[in-house]
Amino acid sequence: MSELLGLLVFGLAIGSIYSLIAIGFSMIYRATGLLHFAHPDLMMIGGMVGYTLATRTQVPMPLLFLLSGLTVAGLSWLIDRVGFRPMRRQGALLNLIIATIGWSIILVNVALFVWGTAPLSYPEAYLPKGRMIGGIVVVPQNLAMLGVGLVAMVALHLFFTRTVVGQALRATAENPVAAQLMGIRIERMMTLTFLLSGFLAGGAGVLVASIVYANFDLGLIGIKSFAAAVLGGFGQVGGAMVGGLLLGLVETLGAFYVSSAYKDIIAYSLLILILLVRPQGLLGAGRARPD
Amino acid sequence: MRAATAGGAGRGALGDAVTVAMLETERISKRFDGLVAVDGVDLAVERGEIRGIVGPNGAGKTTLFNLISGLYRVTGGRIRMGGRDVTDASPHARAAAGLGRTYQTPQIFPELSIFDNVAVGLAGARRPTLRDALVGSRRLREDARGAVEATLGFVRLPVALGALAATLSFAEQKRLELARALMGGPAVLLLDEPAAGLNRGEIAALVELVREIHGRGVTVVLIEHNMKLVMGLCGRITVLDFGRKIAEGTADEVRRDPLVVTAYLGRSAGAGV
Amino acid sequence: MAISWLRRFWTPTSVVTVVALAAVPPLLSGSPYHLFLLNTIGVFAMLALGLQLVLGYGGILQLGYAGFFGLGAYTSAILTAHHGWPFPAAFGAAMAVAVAGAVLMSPIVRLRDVNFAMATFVFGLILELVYNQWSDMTNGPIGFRGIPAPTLLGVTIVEPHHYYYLLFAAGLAEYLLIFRLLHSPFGTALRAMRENETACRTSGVDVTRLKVTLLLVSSAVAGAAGSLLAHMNGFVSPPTFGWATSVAVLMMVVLGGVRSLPGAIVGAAVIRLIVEQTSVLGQHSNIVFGVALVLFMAFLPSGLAGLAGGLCARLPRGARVGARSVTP
Repeated sequence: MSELLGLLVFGLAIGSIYSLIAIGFSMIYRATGLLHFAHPDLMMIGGMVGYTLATRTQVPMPLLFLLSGLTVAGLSWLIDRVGFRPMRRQGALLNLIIATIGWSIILVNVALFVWGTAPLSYPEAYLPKGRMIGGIVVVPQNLAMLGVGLVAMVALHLFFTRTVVGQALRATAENPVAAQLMGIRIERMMTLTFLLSGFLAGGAGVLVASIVYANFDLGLIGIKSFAAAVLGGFGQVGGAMVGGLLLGLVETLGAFYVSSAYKDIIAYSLLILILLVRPQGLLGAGRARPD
Repeated sequence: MRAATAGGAGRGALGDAVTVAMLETERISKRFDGLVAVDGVDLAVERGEIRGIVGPNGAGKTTLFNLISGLYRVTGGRIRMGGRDVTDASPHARAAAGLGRTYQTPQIFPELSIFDNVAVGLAGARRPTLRDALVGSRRLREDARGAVEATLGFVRLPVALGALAATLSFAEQKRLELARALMGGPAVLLLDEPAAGLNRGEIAALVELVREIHGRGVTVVLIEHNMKLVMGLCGRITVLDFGRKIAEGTADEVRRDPLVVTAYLGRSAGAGV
Repeated sequence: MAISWLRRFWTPTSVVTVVALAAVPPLLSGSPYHLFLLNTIGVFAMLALGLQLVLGYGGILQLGYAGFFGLGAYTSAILTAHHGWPFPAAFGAAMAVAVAGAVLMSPIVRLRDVNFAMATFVFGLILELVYNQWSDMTNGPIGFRGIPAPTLLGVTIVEPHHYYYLLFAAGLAEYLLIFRLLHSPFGTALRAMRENETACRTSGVDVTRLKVTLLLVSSAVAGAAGSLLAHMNGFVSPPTFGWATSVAVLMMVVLGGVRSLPGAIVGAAVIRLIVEQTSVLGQHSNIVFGVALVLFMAFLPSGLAGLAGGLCARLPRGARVGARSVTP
């Protein structure tokens, strides 16, 4: 029983990392219609930057999260400014998506160049330490991740529904033309989206890297968050959170009870199944868009 | 319910069932995330009518057309063509069943030739399949060419088949789109603001053309802001405002209806009634 | 319009090209390495043509393409090496399995473009994982050895220059098939769909069915190419059928011009050559692909063909199909 509980906590913790990345990913999609293939690699850069900061400065974890987050936010903004914004005028979404694939390759190779190929472990002080609480091994890191994720979701939900800016962002995603007619400054909204999602990705990167390791192929973990985003209903921020947690749980339980080797396949197959049966995801509202 | 192929008289297979409306919407609604664009509209267009749909901007007229042609899914109500429920049918199925449509701004294929533009209209009647592509016969091609030429002649668009559609003028593009819609041999033709952007001469020619199309047995439903055109051409008129039907009847009846006068005609008094 | 499509294909340019290509092996008989390289280019040219069909003409971002490549390769390998199937049958089965995979995915076509791209991407990931994990069938990460050389009509094709002709025949057949497709009512509907999908739908075009057909055809092509690769090298391994390859083929199509058949072939040649060279240069060379993708999408969305089209405005109708951007 305590074993199951431990698994659940771990699954939720992993899930919350997926959620953080998925939320950013969904936000970008929601606001700009773009599939940002380089987003998981931004997470990876966050992890790498965090590594460098951790080894050089030894700042406490929350600060590390913050600093990496800000760095990646800036990077995300830069890529949008330099790479995407000029292309948005062309209006070809498919081209943009392909361009993000290009950026993904660039980021991975930059990381390779700067940090090399070997996986890098965070200094001892940052590694997760389990504590026994009531007979269960609890990893504060996992709970922290869960907490951060939850806070982020609530904050974002409020942001999207209660604040003027957030509603404007939503409106932009639903119907950019109408939004523009209503006087919403689209470009500003998009900039904000890239900053915010970059921040979340960077922070998530630190969390992941501290548990696993910092390496150029960390983006592969991020790719699973695509699944989380779609699972929860692509473009829905709350859905991304739920999707991430669900994915983490399914993956962890699947790895333990079924087979560790096939856990990725299970996760992905689940995703495709959901896409087939319920294309708008678990939480997605039936979109008014025809077909 | 299949209408005859290109050029011939449009005639539904259910053409003998006189009591069944050609096109019917039953309390259809469309809601977009809180905004109600169309609210419980009942419409029954009989065979052989020329029906006008009018109303102020934003009344939901184009949305209604989008619902009828299947581009939007209804949030309530049913749609029937010749008695057959098509509410869940895809746009292409409705086209194949005899529904033709043109748009406010001509939706043509600019980088395709005139021939190709019009030939696409055959897709409902003659589905472009893989097998045909591989084994297609010369006769089919020549039949298509003949039909395209006939239709272009009918809409008075004497341009070279090989020219690019983008080279046409606005009025010509509207005719091109109309030709495409006619290729499918529609039983019901939806025209969305066919007179928009045309000068007086072109409008007169348009009226002639619509009458000829109607004369061939096609039921016409058109959205228009040009009240003179509507009053002159349409037998019956349906008036929408804020997504609801507020009046319906002959031109005279509608003109006199106080609701209509306040909601619409009164607002645009002097706009050419 | 009365000109038969075949007559349209045989322009002076294409005749010269075909003859020239057919004459290559005797000229290179002293250099098996170069022939091998050309053969590899041939396989990837087939792939590029297939992806171009679905991406450039269908507007579908099929991101799991290499996975179907793998389905063909492994199917053919397993059937010939482990079950003694003759090559032609295995070749056919390779295509069938690839198509079956596409059929499995086809309900997804209903989805909006972005969800579809995502689904194909994940499907590709799943397939790559399967190739790695299902060791019983595929021999896992080590790779599958011992794939026999193909025997066609009693002749066993081992030499590179013989294989060249096999690939040449297959490639030409594929090219003609696609060309035929594009110059038919089907092709017209495709081009119309790319320009204005809404108008198509209300004109009676079953857009979904068109896209599914494209998906199936491109998958069959990938399966065929996979089989040909497997028997050419005698050995296949999972990395060849993963994301990196999908990106490479995407790169080929983008480079050559997303709506230019000859462009896809040129793109395949260029990318393949780069890959050959850079494997010598080192591991950071991949960044070239990334940068190239970004630059091309930003400045040259219609690829080299678009460039060529701009330079010589009057090309025979069949060759020039470039346009401003990838999407409708």
